[in-house]
Amino acid sequence: MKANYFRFWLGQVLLGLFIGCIALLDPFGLSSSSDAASSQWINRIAASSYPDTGQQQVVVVLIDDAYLMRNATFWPLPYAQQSQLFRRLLAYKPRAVFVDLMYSHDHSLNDADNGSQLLVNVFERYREQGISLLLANTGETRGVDGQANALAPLDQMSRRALVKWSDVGDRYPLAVETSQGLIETPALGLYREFCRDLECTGLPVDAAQAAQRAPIALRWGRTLSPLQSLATSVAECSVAGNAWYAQLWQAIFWKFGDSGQATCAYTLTLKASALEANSPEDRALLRQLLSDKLVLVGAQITSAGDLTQTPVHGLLPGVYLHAMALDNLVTYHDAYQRDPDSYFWLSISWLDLVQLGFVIVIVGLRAWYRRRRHRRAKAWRAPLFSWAIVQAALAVLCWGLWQNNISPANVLAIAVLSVSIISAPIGLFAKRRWRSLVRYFAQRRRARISLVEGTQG
Amino acid sequence: MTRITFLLLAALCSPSVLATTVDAYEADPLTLLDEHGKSQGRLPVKDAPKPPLQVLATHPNLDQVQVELGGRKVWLDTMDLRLSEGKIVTTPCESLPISQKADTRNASTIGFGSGCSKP
Repeated sequence: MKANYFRFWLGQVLLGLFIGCIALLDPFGLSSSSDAASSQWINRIAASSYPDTGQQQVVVVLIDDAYLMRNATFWPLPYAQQSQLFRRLLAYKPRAVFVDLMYSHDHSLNDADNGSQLLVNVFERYREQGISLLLANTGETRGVDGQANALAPLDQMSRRALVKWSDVGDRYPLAVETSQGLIETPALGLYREFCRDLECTGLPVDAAQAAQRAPIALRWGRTLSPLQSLATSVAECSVAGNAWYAQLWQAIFWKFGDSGQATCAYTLTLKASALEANSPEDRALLRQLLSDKLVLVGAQITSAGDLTQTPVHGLLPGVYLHAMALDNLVTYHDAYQRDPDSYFWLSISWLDLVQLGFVIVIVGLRAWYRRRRHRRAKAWRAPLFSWAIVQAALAVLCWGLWQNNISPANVLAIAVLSVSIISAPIGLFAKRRWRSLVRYFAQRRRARISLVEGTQG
Repeated sequence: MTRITFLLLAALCSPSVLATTVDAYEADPLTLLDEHGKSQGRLPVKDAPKPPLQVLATHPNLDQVQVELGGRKVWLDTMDLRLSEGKIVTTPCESLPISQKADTRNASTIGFGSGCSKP
């Protein structure tokens, strides 16, 4: 009896260790996959309640295929066309502008009518008018080992904004050390401009301090700005399914519906062709939309390849990644969502330990009820109650993490694992019900046979 | 340079240019430009002559007009001005682009031909 008891608990401890190792060591990326899935669905469910503080400050100007066709031009956009676009934007006096275009190769050398000098001239006017201009920068040394980066004349005329980094997964860093030195990312660069006349809590003093800060675990919004319909038609944007319960429903039953969502971007967006308007009414509207705003200029050109994967919108032009990071900074300031700090070199955080605690409790409860099964086979209510307690604790953990702007726990993995607490009682319950059902039909069959025999007799 | 001179001469000879005037200033201060759009300084509206002003030349490629301010010929950005003539462009009611599905793939790039077949 004692040997059985020892063997049983040894098996349970080994099972617990095995599951704990999967959770912490993440073999084959099992844990990180479910972690990413948890994060994605929590982001989707919460997207409709994302506050619009940042949305009121951030505007994306998008150059798209329709703009190229309308102007009978091509991509890369000729410098003369670009200078037109940027001088039109300048007329509406934005607070700051980030250009998410990489000027790494001059495609009109020694051409006075279409050369890059035309663009430099316009950028110079931004500087003269005190409007900060940030230009996409790879952080690499131009010309060394075939590396590309912004052309020197344009680089000198603007502030650098890093658009290329690695080692942070899908997180958005504030500043990164590069071969060109420490460079801030566009979101932080524009956020500094936002804070120019405001008291922003926890604004990093310089790039060195920003590089020490944890990267942003982005929260995405979904509800369009009320101003969006003034700027473009939103007829094709799906507003149905914005509610959290609709997103939850879709999360669970994604196999039966549209798994890869396609909808309009959250950030207020102006198409580049809108800037060509010159009627007094349209200019007044553009002034309302752009004046004193943080503007990001990007492109969505077929085959240009600048697309980013988002949890809420599917694939979006890369400029929206910077726009959403900026939105997070404007909305939450220093308290943006981030991963908890890791302990030393272990890359294990307190949240990992809390999740491990959940695993231990679940495995322990499972073992406890499996052991008691023989004695109290009918008591299925107690495991169900324990399972409900675990679910409630998990919900409280999620809520607490969300409130404290800490990236979500691996909810899906823990929730699925917790089903093991009630698996045995459910199995027993089902087995009992099946037996009684079989017994019932057997009795009915016997009764019918005896009735037939009685009639014949 | 020759192209610009030609454009200027053509613009100067055009009767429509001679008829166009600057009716109002829309920005203050005005940015004074050269023919390539390079800033030559700024001029507060109070120091500029009162409109209407005769447009001497236009530069359609850069959307600039040449006027005479205090006996000096300068270029101004049309975004800073209201002109008596010109095409009125209204905001096109274009659809806001929707995102692409998460599993969308486009394995192509712009402007390259077929691959190299060197041994």
